[in-house]
Amino acid sequence: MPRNQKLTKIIAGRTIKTLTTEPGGLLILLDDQSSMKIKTAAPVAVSPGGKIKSVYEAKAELKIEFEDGSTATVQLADPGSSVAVRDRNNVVEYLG
Amino acid sequence: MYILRTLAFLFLTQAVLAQQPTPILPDPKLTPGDTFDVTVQDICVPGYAKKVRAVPAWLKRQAYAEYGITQYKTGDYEVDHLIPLSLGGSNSIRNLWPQSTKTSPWNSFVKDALERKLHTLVCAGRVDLKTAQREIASNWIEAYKKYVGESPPASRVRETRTTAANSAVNEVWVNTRSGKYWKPGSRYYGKTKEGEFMSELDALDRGYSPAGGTGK
Repeated sequence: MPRNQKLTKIIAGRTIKTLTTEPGGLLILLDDQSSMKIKTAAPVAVSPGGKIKSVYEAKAELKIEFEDGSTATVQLADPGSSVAVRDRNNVVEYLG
Repeated sequence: MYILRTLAFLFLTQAVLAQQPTPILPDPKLTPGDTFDVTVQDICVPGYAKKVRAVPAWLKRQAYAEYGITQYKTGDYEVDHLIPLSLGGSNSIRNLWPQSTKTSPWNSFVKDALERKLHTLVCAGRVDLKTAQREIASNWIEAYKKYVGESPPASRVRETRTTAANSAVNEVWVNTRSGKYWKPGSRYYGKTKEGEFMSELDALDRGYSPAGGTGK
């Protein structure tokens, strides 16, 4: 599965602080007060506390790899239009 | 016998190519347009479109397939964001279509001019973002006539040929595992286990960097 280089460069090193399940997706708050919204096609289990190492993406599958070696795989609702990362000031960092 | 088979093959190839659709307007069922959840403040920040451009090769192939385009030469089409990124369009397949660079007078370069104009108008507060998105998605040619002019300037057509010819030369090979790309003629061009071809601009937009600093 190819690495999503762009997203990896942005969120690598950040730690998941809290995670909220919303209708149709996830809202992840990161330790630098940035946020990541993911529109998902299926329920997903991700635990807070993980420090993000890399993100991989293939078609509708997004895999987050953590520093401790664990991974979380998310089925995207609409590839290319499912992930939004904004910094602490709500400025767009990544959309895709 | 060999010559006859070759001639038959060439004839069939030409026949297939002749049947390729060259859409000037997208099919609204396949490409209704899709947007990110963004505001005028988001899209008017310099560098915004570059930040959010991310169309993987498989999605581009899907766009061609949906429009029945099975054979084409590099530079014949570009996979266009119907609602441009600069106006909040997304990278969803519902916002992508293969737009001809060769049709005249309406082609991808003319649409680019409309996109620049609308972005300027939206950021100046002279056109509402939702209106711009709706109008370019419903009929970009009508939107061009409304916001730019009744017909595209002749230079847009000439610009098409020059730019399209150049684009074929600029494809690089991206090692999608390492995130580095290689230019034509270099040692690993097209040779790594994982990778894909794309324009150098796409590679840079997607966060890849040249191997060894130069890609050579």
